[in-house]
Amino acid sequence: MQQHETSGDRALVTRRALAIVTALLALGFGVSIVLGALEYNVGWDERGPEPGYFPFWMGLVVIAGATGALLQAAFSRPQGEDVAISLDQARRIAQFLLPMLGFLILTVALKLGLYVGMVAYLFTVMLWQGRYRLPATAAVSFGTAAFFFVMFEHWLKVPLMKGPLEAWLGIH
Amino acid sequence: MENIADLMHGFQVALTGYHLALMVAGVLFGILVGVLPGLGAPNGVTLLIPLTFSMDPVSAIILLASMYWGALFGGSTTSILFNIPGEPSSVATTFDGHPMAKQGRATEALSYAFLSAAFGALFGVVLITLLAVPAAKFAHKFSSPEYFAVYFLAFACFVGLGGASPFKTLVSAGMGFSLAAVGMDTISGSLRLTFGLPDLVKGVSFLVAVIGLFGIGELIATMEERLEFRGVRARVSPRDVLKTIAAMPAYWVALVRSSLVGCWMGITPGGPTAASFMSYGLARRFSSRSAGFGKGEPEGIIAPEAADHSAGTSAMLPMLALGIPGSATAAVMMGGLMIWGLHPGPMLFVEQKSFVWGLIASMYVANVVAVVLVLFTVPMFAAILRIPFAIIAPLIVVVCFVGAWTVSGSPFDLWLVLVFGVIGYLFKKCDYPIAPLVLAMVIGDKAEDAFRQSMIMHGGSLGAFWSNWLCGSLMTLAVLLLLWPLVASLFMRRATPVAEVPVRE
Repeated sequence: MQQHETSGDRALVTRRALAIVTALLALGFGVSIVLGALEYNVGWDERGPEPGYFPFWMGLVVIAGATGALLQAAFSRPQGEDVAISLDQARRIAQFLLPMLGFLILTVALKLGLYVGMVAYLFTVMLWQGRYRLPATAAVSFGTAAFFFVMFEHWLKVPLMKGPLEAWLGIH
Repeated sequence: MENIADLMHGFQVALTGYHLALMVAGVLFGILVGVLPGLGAPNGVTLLIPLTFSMDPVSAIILLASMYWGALFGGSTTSILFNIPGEPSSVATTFDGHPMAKQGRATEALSYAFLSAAFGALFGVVLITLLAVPAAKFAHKFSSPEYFAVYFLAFACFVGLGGASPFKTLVSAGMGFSLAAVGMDTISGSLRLTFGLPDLVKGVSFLVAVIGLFGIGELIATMEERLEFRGVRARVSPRDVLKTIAAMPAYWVALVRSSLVGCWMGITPGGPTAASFMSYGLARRFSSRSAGFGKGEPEGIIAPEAADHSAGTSAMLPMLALGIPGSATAAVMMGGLMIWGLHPGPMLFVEQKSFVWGLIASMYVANVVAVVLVLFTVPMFAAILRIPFAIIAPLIVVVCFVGAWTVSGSPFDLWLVLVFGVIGYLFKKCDYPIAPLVLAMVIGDKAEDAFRQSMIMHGGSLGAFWSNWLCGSLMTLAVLLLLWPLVASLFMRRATPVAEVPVRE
């Protein structure tokens, strides 16, 4: 590993912390499954288990596994460098995830459709993060949308999600 | 020999111009998917499934299976040339493949990898040809309790032999079964676990989960590292390939041993990744040339590659004969079979003879097609990796979301992909196995149905699972495997891993 430690290599999240958080999330998942299953009959009648039975027990399996993983993580002693996610890595993950979130917000929440979403997403990422010039950026982002349009709408006859722009242009 | 005649019929199905074209297309697409980090075999197959809805099932499975073989080959290519495994199962190939390529013997390394991979794959297919019919005949005796016992055994194998922490395996499998239960209950018809969300009524599709877990999750993990492809240039010359072919027979022990390891891990749901590590570990331990391992020893390439591919192909055997997939990719394919309206399992051999034997015959042909194609397209695909990742990664993201949309045209699924992406990343970071989750999502409903039907048959008594010797011994074996980690931790303070997985540098 690196000898010289720069500020970016510092741990933002330690392995132990990440293991505990993940186990807690799994625990939460298990609890919500059990609660969800309890809205139905989780018992046993003369025809065997009732609808809630199977999910109820599967929720308990998740809870049991998550508890075990949680205890293991909590009582583990860190060995050597205890870096799960460094500052630099967190920055790179954010740079990757945030535009993707924007893509989904444009596409789904604002109902603009996949084509508008993908052009906006590719455009932003390439121009700002990839530092490409405008012509290359425009070519790739519009080219991708055009490629998907021809492939899905015409060739495969699988319509992708469309929004107001396509309606305005009269494309269905 | 009944199965020889069936196989010949299969070749008639597989060797049509249309199917050969599908194989070539599938293999090429598979190599692309295997070469690109973030797009793996399970994810690639998943992205193609919605596009096969209107195809004939035989053609569809030939396309998907060929893609799988292509992806396995593509994964080895990047391992050797770039020291970056394109697939988790080709991590072990980097240990000796990349050092050899750095010594200027890239062609040799690639040829060793592809040829031993092809050997492993053909070994697996021959095994399937011989065992498929007996296995299916055996499975004809199965009724609900036996099916549940086999499902239970498959998951017990994950816990007992999987290598990951048993707790984490339980979490993964339990989550998969819980997710499979969301939506309509197939027996009572009532809605479950929808939490008042109308979008959850149709359930959570395993296809959407796989796209998130393997696609986005893998991409987040890749983006986290600063990826630089500093590859070794490769131009494959026929003379070098011929030289390698001539050298291959000397390694027959490693080839056969690795293929056997692969078949074993493919049939029990250990999967190709575990198989390649185990095989590498065994080769390093028992080889007379063990000193050269890690520095570019051919046997260190042959062992993981042959095991990887024989595990990949033999994972199709339990899927076809019993309806239990042996790897995550096989699980996805089995999900596809169910979507096409087929019932994986022994009845497939009676009702869908052309389908089964067409697929098996296509495995012979497609693997040969794949070796030839991959040898000649390596420079082309290696060039793709010289395109900056800043363009490739967002394009893969777009492909993943478009793929998720084509599953059922639901905007809600797009959010699910993101959620599964984060789960996949956390699982990868914290060493939770993903395969049990995928397997559980695919066979969840079948397992629950089998369980409840056995209970109905036997008046709600758990004794149903010990009512005959077959079912009883399967269940007992499963319980023993489940308890194995507990027993092992009592006797051995610390298990020694077969091969240490190095952290990506």
